[in-house]
Amino acid sequence: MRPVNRRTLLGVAIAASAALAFAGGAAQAAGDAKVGKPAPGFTGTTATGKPIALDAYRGKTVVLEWTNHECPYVRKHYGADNMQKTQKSAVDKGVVWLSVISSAPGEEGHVDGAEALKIAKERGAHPTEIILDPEGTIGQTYGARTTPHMYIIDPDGVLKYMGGIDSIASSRKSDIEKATNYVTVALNEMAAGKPVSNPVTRAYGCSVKYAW
Amino acid sequence: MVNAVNRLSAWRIFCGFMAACVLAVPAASANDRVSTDNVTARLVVEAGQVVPGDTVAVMLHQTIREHWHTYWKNPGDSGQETAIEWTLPDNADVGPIQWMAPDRIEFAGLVNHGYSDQVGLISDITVPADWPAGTDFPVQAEATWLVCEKVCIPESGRFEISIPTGGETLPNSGDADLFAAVRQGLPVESPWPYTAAVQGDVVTLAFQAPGLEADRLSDAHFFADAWGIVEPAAEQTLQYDAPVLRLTMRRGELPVPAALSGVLTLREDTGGEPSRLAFVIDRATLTATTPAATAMAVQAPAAAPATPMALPMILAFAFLGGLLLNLMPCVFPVLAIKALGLVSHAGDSRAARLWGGLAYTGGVLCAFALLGAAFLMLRSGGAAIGWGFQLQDPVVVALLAYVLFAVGLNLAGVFEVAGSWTGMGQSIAGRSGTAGSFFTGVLAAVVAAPCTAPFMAAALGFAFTQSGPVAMAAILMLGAGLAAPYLLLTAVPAVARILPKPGAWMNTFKQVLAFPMFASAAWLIWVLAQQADPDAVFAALLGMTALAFALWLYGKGGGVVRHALALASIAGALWLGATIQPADGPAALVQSSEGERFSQARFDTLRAEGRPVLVNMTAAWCITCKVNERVALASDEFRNALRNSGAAYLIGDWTRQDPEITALLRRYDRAGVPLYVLFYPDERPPQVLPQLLTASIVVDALQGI
Repeated sequence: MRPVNRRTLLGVAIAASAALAFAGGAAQAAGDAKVGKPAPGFTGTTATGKPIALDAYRGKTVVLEWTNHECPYVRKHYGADNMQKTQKSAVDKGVVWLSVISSAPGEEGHVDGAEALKIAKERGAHPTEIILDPEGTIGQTYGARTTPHMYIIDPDGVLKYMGGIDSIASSRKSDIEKATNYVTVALNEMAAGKPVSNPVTRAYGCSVKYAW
Repeated sequence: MVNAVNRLSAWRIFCGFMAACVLAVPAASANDRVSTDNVTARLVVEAGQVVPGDTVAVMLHQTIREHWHTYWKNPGDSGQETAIEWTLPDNADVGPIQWMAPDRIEFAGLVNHGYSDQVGLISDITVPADWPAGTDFPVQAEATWLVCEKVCIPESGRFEISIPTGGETLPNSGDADLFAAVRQGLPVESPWPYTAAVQGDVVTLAFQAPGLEADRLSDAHFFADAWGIVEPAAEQTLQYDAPVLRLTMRRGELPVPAALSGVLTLREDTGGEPSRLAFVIDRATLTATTPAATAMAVQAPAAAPATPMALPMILAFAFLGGLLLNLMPCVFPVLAIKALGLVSHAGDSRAARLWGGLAYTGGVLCAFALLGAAFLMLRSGGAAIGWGFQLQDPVVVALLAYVLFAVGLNLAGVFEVAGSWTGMGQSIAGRSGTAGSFFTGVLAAVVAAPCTAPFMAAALGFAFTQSGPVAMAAILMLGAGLAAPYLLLTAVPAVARILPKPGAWMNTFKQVLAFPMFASAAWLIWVLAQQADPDAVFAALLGMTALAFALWLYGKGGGVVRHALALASIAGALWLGATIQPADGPAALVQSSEGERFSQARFDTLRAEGRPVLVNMTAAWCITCKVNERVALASDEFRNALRNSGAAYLIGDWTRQDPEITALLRRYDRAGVPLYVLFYPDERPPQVLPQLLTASIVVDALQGI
């Protein structure tokens, strides 16, 4: 094998720091979320009007779900009871589930706290909290593009998964059964101490209705 | 919306015209049209009548509500591509959708790839040859599409049409212009050769495009074929630095793929109406540029970070690798010839011997320089190649077999080279001439290639991902290393004293050396058999027979007729060699009962299942690989350890070109085979095993899973 001497080590160090500097500089454009790196912290307000901070959940696994109740892709997963089941099985195992609504005022899916709670109740959802993000701050920080767009953060605050809810990008409910639910798979793998087999996948759905 | 601006006005006029036509002509048969709130869709057949056995173009044509859009095959940040599910009679065949070049559609900081106003999606349907002519051919299609303005609506349509069949093809006069206009929007082959590179988060597409006027080009955009390769919303920058047109963009979220595919669009202002150009980018191999570690560091834990090397280190390792080449079985016969030459010239003056050594060095360096230049040229043309590439072409392998066979015949005494420069008949080995030394140098370099020595792997592998000059310097250093020991021998006077005295034994020894040459030729024919079909093997053997005949004639000396016959035979041999065609499909080298053939898809599946994977990259012409397979990978210890570890064993055969294998080699900074990598089921970085394997090394590694 290749012998390692001081010069090579120095070379590695220089290249690694250059790589980090480069990655850090470029990450701003499309969200700071990177799998394997600490998940960006955030504070916000829940549908019940409470302040909320990601840091408060350190020690627990956290799922972030971007949602918009009028989007056909969100309706696909809630209409087939798929999202609720995924939420319930996660929450039952002690996972914190945060649904985030980043629709800007006047855009599709924008709701106030009372309406958000009403919708959640009507569709039998089980989020730990619903976060209202009408400015799109949290969404832009994470680079959330679609509804649904899913993120999983481990108890140490490291991002372990970002991407779609499952493997078949369609609006047909009948596809859910054939698809791999990436979130459930990732949560099970994390619980078993294994690496997440598909840490980054294509998030599919409607675009997040940010202000513009 | 930006997209509206992007359409050509000619196209728009045409759209209006077509819309009028569509309204005026009643539907030809039931269910060829579906109207939803946002899209009017038609299924249109290009021909009015089709001959069974022929292919006919069928188009899903969408007229899209103003400000709304449907999607391309990679929809971008959000959205979904249009899909068509066909139901056809048995034995009928349908090709993939031929996608028109998409537009960039911006919305609230996100970017989608799709179409506004209207789009035609053409697929080719083949009517089976046994379809009864005269009977209508039924086509059913279920199309689904997502149509969005600010909000998105999934829509679908069921179409049922029948295509008349008969003894001749008849046009469908009504829609010929529509097909022509849609085909105008399909991306075409790029007129400029291109390469792709990735450095950190930046992906660069470079085109060799001389003679452009930079200020006439605008709106360049690359649309990657699949999600996660290039960031859709990130800005792309076009630079023209004659003759290179360079587009830089930001990498997507997925690990760096082996190759870049997609569509490049740009606008060229030719004085009148600006024309929109769209070119297909087909599997441009993604080369990692300096620092090589950058691309790897951001990748998933699957890949080990590569160690970058300083130029002096690269050159030192290349030199060392060249030295080691002298001990490799490929080069050994040539060296034996050189040793013989040294003995026969023991009595020469020191200056004469040194001159011979320098000529040999010159031959080695020239051959390496030529190989290096060929490599760099092919690489800049976008070919996915690595070191040893010259042996991936069966014609080169056959010609090399010819050369070794001819040298063997020469040593055996069938003919002698009556060089005009020496003035006397002598064998190559005994030639005192500068040309003879030069030639043996070339020969040594040519046969050395398949033996990638362990030190070479690190240095060359890295050097080959570098710029042209660095790669060339490393290749030349390798040659210098190969030539150095002999050059040293010729330069040291003491050597002359310890060498045995020349005598009659030399003739016998020379003849004995013919047999390693024949063995090498036999081995090359075996390599050829892996790359081409039995006809090619026969052609090569017949060519060698013709060559032997020619050299025998030549050896007998004599008149014009004999020489003419000899030349004709050589021409015949060369022609036979040139007729050799590489066989289709993957090489048939993988025969191990434990292993399965490597493919990126299979590898990804196994990794996704969380299984440990042992990857072995090999080639028929790689002697080191073959030795490892005999010594380490055929042992029972290895088989047992493999079974107990539960690891999957994937064997990649690089005997012929294979871009997927080249990509994996490059990921580990290797320019050639062998490469052995063990991937763990957990987050540990994969372990690269040494290039010279023993059973215990592999077994230890497997037990460490």
